[in-house]
Amino acid sequence: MGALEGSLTFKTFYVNGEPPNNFHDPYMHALQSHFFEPLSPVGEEERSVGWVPAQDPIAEEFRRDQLFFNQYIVFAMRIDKWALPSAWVKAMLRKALAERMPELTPEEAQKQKEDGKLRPSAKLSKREKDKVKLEVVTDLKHKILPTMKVIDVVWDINESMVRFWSTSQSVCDEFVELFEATFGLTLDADSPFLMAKHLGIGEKDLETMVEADPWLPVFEDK
Amino acid sequence: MDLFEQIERTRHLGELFLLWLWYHSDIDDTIFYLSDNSVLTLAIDNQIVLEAKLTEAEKTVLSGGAPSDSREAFEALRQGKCVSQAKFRVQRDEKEWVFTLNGARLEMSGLKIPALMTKAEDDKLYERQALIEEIDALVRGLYEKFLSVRLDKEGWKIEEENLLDWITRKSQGEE
Repeated sequence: MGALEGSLTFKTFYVNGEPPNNFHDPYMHALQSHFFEPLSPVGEEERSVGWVPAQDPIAEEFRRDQLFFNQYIVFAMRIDKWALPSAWVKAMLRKALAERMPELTPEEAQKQKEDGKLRPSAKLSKREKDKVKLEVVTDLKHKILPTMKVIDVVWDINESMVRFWSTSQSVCDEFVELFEATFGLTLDADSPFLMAKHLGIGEKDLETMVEADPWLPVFEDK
Repeated sequence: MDLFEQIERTRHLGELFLLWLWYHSDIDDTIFYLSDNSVLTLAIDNQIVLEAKLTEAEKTVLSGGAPSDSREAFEALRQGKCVSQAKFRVQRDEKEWVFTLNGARLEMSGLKIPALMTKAEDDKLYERQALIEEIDALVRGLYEKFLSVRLDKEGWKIEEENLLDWITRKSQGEE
């Protein structure tokens, strides 16, 4: 959140390149084609990332009036992932494995009783154990919802600037990648150098900036 | 030199910018004039983070009260630590913004904007964006002013001497 309400912590990016004339329809189509796909309890994906309307992150498609506000394009990046409670997984897996344990012959059962060691036939193979774990995890996924993170994006077309309401490096990297894949335009995160460049600082001064050493003050002891 | 290298080599200027803001806020009684002659007040709020870049992971976090007046802060500067982030309070035309600015990335976090006047959802979006853009423009204006001093060889020489003198005096507890 952030563009419409809530916390105001964001990262600013500069957009390299211009949007096409009459960008509304092509950009709406581009966002729709990278729309968020929900995770399925039976699917193999542990995480899903895509665009959603900032005003309604559980909507199934974009509406034009949710996207375009004069010079702004407003949308959000949604990240869902399965976060299974490990204590539940462990407990359910232990129970499921015990139920699947093959029965021992009377001789094996007697020996096991005597020495306390599991007999080979009483063990499950790794493949069988993996199968049981998958069943347990799938069963658990049917009972819980994935965690959902929604991060707002505001693109100011006039200023060629994007504000993204997260400063996490990994999330920002993922955002940049998805943005480029969606719009075919690259992004550069704001920095002292790029801010100077966008302020119109001349080439010579930009060179001076690059050549400047960090300030290391030397004090005379008094 | 490619863009990546240019960006990485100039990150220290963002940290110097924070120190410069602190210095002028103190000596100019929080008043700043921008190149368009507009005026604003800027003061360090209740947090400053100082970091040593040459030695490993030496960080001084000063929070609560008035950390920008503390001898500890100036002692950290004397030890060669730079201002990696600081919380600022900016006022202009009866509007007030509070935010933390990271020097190396010039990234704003925890921004508090003035109260919104509009009620309609669409209008709220425009007003909120306008207030974010206004503080963004003010910070850019201040950065431009800082660069005009830092990139002027003679001007920076004088500023540097004044900065050193200020840090020395403050670390000795002088007003």
